[in-house]
Amino acid sequence: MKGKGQGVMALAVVLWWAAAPAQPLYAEIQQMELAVDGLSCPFCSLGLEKKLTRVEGVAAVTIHMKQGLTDVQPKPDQPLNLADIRRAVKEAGFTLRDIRLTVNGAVAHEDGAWVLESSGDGTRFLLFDAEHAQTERSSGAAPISVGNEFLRTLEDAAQRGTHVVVTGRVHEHAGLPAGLLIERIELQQP
Amino acid sequence: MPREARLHVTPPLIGLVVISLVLLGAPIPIGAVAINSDVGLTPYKGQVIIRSQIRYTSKRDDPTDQDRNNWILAMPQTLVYGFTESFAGILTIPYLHKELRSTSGGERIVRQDAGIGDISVLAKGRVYTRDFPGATSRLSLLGGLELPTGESGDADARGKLPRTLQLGSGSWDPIVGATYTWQSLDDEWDVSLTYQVNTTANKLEFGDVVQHTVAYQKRVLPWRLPERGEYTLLNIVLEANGVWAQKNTSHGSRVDNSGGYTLFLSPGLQVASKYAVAELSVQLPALQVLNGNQVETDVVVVGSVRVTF
Repeated sequence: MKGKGQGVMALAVVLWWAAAPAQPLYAEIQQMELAVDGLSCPFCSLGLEKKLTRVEGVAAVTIHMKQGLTDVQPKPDQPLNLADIRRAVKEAGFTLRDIRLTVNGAVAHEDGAWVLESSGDGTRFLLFDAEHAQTERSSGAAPISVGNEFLRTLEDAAQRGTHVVVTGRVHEHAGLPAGLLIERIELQQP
Repeated sequence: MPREARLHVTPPLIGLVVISLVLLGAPIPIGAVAINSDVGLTPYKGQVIIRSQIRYTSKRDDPTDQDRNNWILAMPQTLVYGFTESFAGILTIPYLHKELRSTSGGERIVRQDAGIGDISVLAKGRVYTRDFPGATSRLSLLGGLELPTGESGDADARGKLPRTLQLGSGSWDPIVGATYTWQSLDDEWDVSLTYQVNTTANKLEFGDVVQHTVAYQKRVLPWRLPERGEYTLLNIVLEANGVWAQKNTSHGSRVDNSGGYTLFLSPGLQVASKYAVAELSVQLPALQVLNGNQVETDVVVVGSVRVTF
C-alpha cells in the first residue's frame, strides 16, 4: 500500500473509529512527559506541581525548568485521564504544548491501521508515524499509518503476540479516540 | 511665598544609569515581579500568596527654616487569591507609623500617628497571554478601590494633626491600571501603570495619583542553569518607580504646597524559591519636581517576603 492511497491519515482512519464514543483516555502508561510553555520562574512552578499532583492517578511530579518539561509518574494500576492533566496545566496558568507517553500494550492491524491496546484497561491508541501524519488520502485507497521504520517491529509483535512498549506524542481530536505519533517501539521483554 | 516647583536631579541617577547599562550587557536571569509594586503578583487558580512588606521612608530635605524631618514606617500586608488562572483579587492592609519633627518658635516639635491606613481592594484580570518554551508574555488589567479605613481626623495635644500625618484620606478612591510582564529564562521585564482618582472627604480632596513602574531582573546565581530540576535563584533588580500627584484641593482652592513628581531608581536583590521570595530594595530619588515647600524624600528602604500556599 506504500505510495498508494495516501490520505489525510487522521481523518481517514479515525472515521473508521467514528462509531466509537468519545472517551477519556485511560491506559497503562509507564511514563508521561509534558512539554509546558510559560514555565519561567520557580515561584510559579509550584502551582503546576500542586495541580498535577492532585490529579487522580498521578504519583509524583518532577519539573525541569530549563527544558520546559514535566515528568509525571503514574500510579501503578490506576487510570490516568489526559483531560484531567490538560485541565491541571491550564488551571496552573500555563500552556500544555505536548504530551509524550510511554505505553505498554498489544498491537493489532485492523483495516489498514495499527492499533495499540493498552495492557491496563484495554484503551486503544491509533498508531502512526511522522511521515504518514502529513499524507493525503485518495479516494478508494486504504490508509497507511506506519512506515517501514516501525512496521517490522509491529508485524513481529503482532505475529508472536508479544507486547510492545511504545513511546510517542499524543494527538487528540475532540470526540475521537487518541492517536500516538510513534517515536520509539520496543518489544517487551518476557 | 511658596516657591515654584523645584527640579532636583541627584547623582544616584547618573550612577544607576551606568549600572543599568552594565546589567543589560550581562547574561541569564529569571525571577518574579517588581519589588515596589504589588500589581504584578500572579497566582494560579486557588493559590494564595501573602506578601509582607516593610517600607521606611525618610524625608529630610526641607526648603524652609523649619528643619522638618518626616519619616514613615509602612508595613503593608498583601493577600492575593487566584479565583481562576486568569482572575485574581488583591487585598492590601497597611499598618503605618508616621512622625514629623519640626522647629517652631525655637522649639523642636514632634508629632506622630500610628495605626491601620486605607485598605485597598483590587481585581486583576489577565487579558493576554502568550506562552513559549521557558518564557511568557502577559498583560493584565486592574480595577479597584481604596477604602477610607484609616483615621483622617486624628489629633494630639497640639490639635488636629496635619493631613500628611493622618493615616487615611477619609475618601473612597477608585484605582485603575494595567501591568505587563515578559519573563523568560534569559530576562524579565515588568511594566505597570496605575491611576488613582482621589475624591473629596471633609472638604479636602487629595490630588489624583499616577504611579508607573518599569522593572528589570537578571539572575546572578546559579550562573548556569542545571539542565534538570528546579532551583533557588538570586536575582539583581533595577526598577524605575515614578509617582505623579496632582495638587490637593481644600475648601475649593488648590493647595500650592502639594503635588509633584518623583522618580525613584531602585536597585534591589531578590531570592526566589519555589515556596517563597525574599526581596530588598532601596529607592533613591533621581528626580523630584515638587510644588511649593514640600520636604523632599531622601531614601526609601523596602524589604518583603512572599509566601504561597
